Amino acid sequence: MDDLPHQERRAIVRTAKDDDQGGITRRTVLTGAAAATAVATLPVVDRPPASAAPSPDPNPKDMVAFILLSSALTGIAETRLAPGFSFPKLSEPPTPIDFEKLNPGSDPVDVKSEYFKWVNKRHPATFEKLRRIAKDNLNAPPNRELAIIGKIPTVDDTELTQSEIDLKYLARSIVLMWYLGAWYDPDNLQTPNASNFEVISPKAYTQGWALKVAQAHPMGFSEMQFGYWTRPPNPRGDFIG
Amino acid sequence: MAAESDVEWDVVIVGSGFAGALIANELGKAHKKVLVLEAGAGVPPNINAYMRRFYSAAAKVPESPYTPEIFGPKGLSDPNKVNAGRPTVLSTGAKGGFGDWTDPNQSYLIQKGPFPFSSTYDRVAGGTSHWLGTSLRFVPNDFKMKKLYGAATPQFVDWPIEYKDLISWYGKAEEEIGVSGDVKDQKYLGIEFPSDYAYKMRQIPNSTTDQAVSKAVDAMTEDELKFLQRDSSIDKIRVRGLPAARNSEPYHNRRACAGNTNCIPICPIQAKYDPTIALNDAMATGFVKMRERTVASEIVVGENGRISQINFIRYKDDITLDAGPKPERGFVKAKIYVIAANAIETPRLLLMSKNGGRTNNGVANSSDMVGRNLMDHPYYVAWGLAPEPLYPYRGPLITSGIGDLCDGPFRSERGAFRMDIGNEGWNFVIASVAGGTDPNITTLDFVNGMNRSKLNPGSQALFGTELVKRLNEKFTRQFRCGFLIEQTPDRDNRVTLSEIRDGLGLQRPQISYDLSEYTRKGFVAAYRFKNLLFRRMGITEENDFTTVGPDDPTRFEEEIDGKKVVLNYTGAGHIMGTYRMGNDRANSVVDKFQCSHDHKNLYLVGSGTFPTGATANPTLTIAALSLRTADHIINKALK
Repeated sequence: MDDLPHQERRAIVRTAKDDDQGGITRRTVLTGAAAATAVATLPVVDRPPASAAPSPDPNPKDMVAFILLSSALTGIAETRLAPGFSFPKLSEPPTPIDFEKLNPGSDPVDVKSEYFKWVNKRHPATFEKLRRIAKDNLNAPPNRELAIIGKIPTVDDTELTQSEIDLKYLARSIVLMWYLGAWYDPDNLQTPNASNFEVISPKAYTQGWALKVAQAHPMGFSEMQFGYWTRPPNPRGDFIG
Repeated sequence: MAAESDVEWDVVIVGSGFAGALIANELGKAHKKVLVLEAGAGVPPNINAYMRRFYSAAAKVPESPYTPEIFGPKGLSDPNKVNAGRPTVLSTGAKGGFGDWTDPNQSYLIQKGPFPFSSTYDRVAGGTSHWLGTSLRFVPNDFKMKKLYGAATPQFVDWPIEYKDLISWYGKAEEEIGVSGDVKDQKYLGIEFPSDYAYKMRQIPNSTTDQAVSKAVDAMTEDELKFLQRDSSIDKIRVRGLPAARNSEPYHNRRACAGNTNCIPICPIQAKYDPTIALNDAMATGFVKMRERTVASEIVVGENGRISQINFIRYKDDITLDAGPKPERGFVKAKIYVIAANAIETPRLLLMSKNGGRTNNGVANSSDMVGRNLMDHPYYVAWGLAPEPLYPYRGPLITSGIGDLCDGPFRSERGAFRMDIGNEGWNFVIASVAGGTDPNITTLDFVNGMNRSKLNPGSQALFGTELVKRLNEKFTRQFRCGFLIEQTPDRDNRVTLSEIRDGLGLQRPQISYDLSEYTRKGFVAAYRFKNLLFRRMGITEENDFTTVGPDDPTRFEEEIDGKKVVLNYTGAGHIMGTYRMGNDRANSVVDKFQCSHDHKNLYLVGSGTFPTGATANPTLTIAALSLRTADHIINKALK
């Protein structure tokens, strides 16, 4: 029987290659990477990455930038991705938002911290560049969403430098992470293996936005009441705005 | 430990799924000493481990919450090493590809074809706990296919019982498992109820998708329905709610459905009945014991043709380790033996039981019917984009369907079908062509500029509000339906034994499977109905996204209305027919109480006893027959 405490369990694929990177390996499995222990007698435990020290909590300013970045890229309000995050009250006439005055806020689910650490462990340099883009474009015209999105390269990879390619695809990986609770590594997204993924954690799966955008909920995780499905849902804005 | 060998049990039951659990519970309540042998893992204290495994799974297939683990270090778990293996939908893939259906190193079932048998089952206490919950009664004519429709289809046989023999047992089953439904909605095609009968719980409310389909069906004219050759003097066809073992209010200490949209493979709050509930009740009587990871390996026939014992192998690890503990062997003795191991594992066990050559053709097999007449409901799915939002991905996976087409004069020539209305959009239906499920595939398409869903022909890559709007606009309009097609009992569709073995060294099941002309014609009718429905729903031809992949091993072609059409199927999970009931011992394996013709203390239960499969999901009929058999065992066999 299962005697693990009530905590998330990661499905991490381990091969010899993983040990130097402490991360994910490519799989050619049609439906994406999934893990199981070879030895079924052992209880499946979290396997910490090769760099075994626990990652420190992100610096609040870095977290704010990550939230701003994520909101712009996903189209979902900051206060939904990070309940507890808030903007200062609008003034009349409106003044630019002061980045230094923003706080990430806190919420009991805190999937934002899990995601920040996940991305930061795998692609710290490109991640930092993306956060800087968000911070620098907080008040840029026409609005922060379009300004931030506008800085992500879109043209064909053949016309981009390596670091532009890294930016282009990591931005996509971050969107997919929020939408699906799954990691589609930027290295895979550039190749025909693009649909390979691993579920980040049970919690991440239950916090996916793809079906909330559809005015529904992740399959297997409904916080709604009996009979809700017989009536049309609330407007889209109630879910993501 | 062989302590269980020291006891003479009243009843030993092999298998703890629907049939086994219900029978164990009835016997326990009647103070009979019962031992249940389960080949897989036992009843967990809660479903947390199942939920974690499910949430973490990349491939959320029906087996995904349950053990044995689907994946091993190098891909699918090696069925040669798994001790109590089972098929997975991931091993019904194209030849030469991942999960090649013909590769015995990936597929637990040794499949000889010509078509793949695509249905699967679990190996844990509770049996196929991944079921949907649909609890339909058969229609009366389903029991008389030979008498009514058999002239041109000689393989049909009649059941040795009729609908009226089961009316009270259906009612008892509906109470035991907790079925919610509306009697008024279920009185079609001759289904009748006692005059004061009511389901224990009111019908689960229909979904917004059901409502849209209903409007379309109500608008269909008799003229455009003529091709179905139904008896149109009967009611107009309409969308009806599905009675289901799904709570619409608190029942038997379980909550009402909260619309997790996850019935298959697991309800996170157990609003859907599963057999671990009956198992727990059974063990609480104090008279029922269960042994997990205990595989029945031979049924021993003693003097007078009675069963004298069942031998078993007990293992510790799901996968054979070279340096692991050796499996323990033992036996159990009882007055009565019940085999409830599903319609593939039961014939496997019967055929494996050779008794040193005395029963070379297997136990209970004087008719040579054991393993034969394997049936499923081949399931034809179609999907498209509706003109207006339907708001799928909400509510139970299926809440309504069309049952009015399950019987009629057409059954002299072609298989009937029942239509399911899916509430989950394109979730699983696109897997066969897109290499993944929704919402992942469509989300990936619009984020990464791909077009696996076929919804992004411009290969646009979007961010922000534009992405939100586009995904919303697509997901909210996704529609899918499914057709359970009636399959004939064909003697060469069968389960036999392979020489290829599992982790315990036991012979694995070998499957031969084909679709008869009768069944293919059922597909043709379903396809034509699908086109009519889509037209009535305003789903244009270019918004009909139903596709069959070029390498799909289930694909076949039919000429329909002058055009060549490619069709395919998935398995409905309804495995039936392989030890059928009948009055004639030359042509059947068990009698109408599911007792072997050959061995008076041996019962074989579950949908393997169904002589014909009709179109209804089998579980409620399994439950009704199980309760009837338990009553027979208690009041006749054990007296």
